[in-house]
Amino acid sequence: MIPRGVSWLQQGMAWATATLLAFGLWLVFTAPPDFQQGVTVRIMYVHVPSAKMSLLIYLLLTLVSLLFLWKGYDWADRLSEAATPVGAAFAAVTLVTGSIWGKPMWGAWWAWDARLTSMLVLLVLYVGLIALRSAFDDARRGARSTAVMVLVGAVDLPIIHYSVQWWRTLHQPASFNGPTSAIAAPLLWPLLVMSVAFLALACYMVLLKFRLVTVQRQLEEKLEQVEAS
Amino acid sequence: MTPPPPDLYQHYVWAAYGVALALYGGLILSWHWRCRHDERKLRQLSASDEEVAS
Repeated sequence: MIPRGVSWLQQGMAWATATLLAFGLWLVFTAPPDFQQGVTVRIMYVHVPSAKMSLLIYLLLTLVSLLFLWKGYDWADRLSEAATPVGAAFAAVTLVTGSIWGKPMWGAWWAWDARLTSMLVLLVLYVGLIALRSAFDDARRGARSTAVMVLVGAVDLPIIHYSVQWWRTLHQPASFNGPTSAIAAPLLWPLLVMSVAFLALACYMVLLKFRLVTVQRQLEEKLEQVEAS
Repeated sequence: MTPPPPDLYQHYVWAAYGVALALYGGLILSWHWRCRHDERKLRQLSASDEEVAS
């Protein structure tokens, strides 16, 4: 079954997520509206943390894929399988909330801008990884192919991050860079708390899916044993 | 520049938070339910194995 440490960590993350989200949402909905964007600035508190998590999860995928290809650890493959749909969900929410913000602020739901397009590529990559893994009958071969594909796709991470510096984009450059933030404190604090809350949410979702993947693999093994006997 | 009226874009905000809640909440509930279901099934299979062995 599942190691007890994973269950405890998952429960801890659930409580941390609930507490931080409640506090973060209170800060978000009591923060003043932006002088130009009005209340649409509140979309940023879901959009920016989701974008950061989608990139962070792909970074995690890259690391565990390297470990899996190098050492062949089974847990690394399970973690990769678990983190992929979570990353896809964060990337999808980033694109949809960005689009919802774009309509009133830019006057368009979508623009083929470097940041938006590279983010869309990330979502396609995530969906492609899920499809690639399930396309193989031999799970081990599927895992290796997925790990290689993750490493190839990792080239999109610096493109997304630096797209606003390398090209003239409609998307604004990063305004949230730790101590050198261009955001006023009453709007910055909700963003910081929501970012930590989304980090806890991402950890919780990955752990929950990791638990599900582990149980499903154990169940498949057991059913094969039952059929063989 | 004059800020936009407070209520003008409120429905965009609700739409964004609704999408996030639906997707994250839906995935969490779905995985949580499937995890409980599969863990129960695994325990049942293990228990029947032990019965046969004894």
